[in-house]
Amino acid sequence: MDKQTFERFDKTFPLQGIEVENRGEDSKNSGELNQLNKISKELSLLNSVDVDQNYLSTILPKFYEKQERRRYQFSFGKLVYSATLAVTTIVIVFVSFRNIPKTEMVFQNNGTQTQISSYSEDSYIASADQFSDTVVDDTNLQTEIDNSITQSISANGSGSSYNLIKNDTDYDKVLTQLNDEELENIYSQLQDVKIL
Amino acid sequence: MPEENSDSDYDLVHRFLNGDEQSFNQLARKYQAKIYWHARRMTGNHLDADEIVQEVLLVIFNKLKNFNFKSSLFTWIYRITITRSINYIKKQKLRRFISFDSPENIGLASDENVVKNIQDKEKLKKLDKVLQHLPEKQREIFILRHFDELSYEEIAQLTGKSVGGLKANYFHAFEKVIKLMDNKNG
Repeated sequence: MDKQTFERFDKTFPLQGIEVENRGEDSKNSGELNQLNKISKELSLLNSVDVDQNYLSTILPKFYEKQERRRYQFSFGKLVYSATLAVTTIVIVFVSFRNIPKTEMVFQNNGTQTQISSYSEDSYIASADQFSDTVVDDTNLQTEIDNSITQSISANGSGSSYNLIKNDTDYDKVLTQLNDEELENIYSQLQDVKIL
Repeated sequence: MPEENSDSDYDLVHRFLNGDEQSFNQLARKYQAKIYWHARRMTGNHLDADEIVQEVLLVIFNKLKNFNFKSSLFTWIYRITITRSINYIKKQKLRRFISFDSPENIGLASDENVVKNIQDKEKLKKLDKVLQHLPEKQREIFILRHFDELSYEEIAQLTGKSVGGLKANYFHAFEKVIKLMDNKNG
């Protein structure tokens, strides 16, 4: 398509077809202009669709319903947060007054750290002498895997603020919380490496 | 830019800010179809467009108190709609890029029930097919210029892009549309 012809078409838009016929165009140009007008009219025809009025009347009720849900979630979240804060305070006060020997606490911490850092992908493969018919209690396995991943991320210097995403719901939450700048940043990085 | 009654918008905004929720409803009813159609053409399906409409209304509801009438209310709402639509599409792409669900469960957000007439459904399907072949930025400009019939200056004001860049993008978009329409007709 010739750019100049397009510019002429574009200038007369949305009144296509009016000037074209009166100008005595050479056949190539008028052919292209006619094609542009034809396509434009076809598009306008495709675009002449009415949306069901019933749908439009549901928009506002749905909006207020969502608003109400958000408000509830927000206040519930605040309640849970304050409750958590209160419980944490009580626990701290309780622990402080119990006067637990420091050595014991340090020992507990060290134990946990050693235990976690020794995990690797192979840690969950039992050695030959561990095979038996007894059912292994794996209720804490997921927590331990999560802790292990968390430790690895920290060890790699990736900071301490992160979330583990295990399913689409978690992922959706993260995507929803992204602000415009963060979204743009991630998106353009993925585009730069031709992933998106 | 479509005609609007700015006095009325001004009154509605002020009444809303003084606690009259009905005024917000009036504003929403006035602009909801325009918001829907922009989102619908951008995303190519009803459910996504519906999500965007809800998002846009939420932004309007929460930020209307900061609106200072430096631009018309319509321009402001349109700018929100454009940004929300583009961001929604980007999020959808990221969602598809990393998904824990099986691929069959993604991208099924298509519901044509909002268009009752069978001929209209067909038209909409054809149009969606054409538009969804355009890259987002070209699609956006094509919609604003061709369907909303905005001038380049108005689009530049809405998108923050230069008129020259917009013209080039529109030209390339139109070239693609012609090819796509030719393929469909031929």
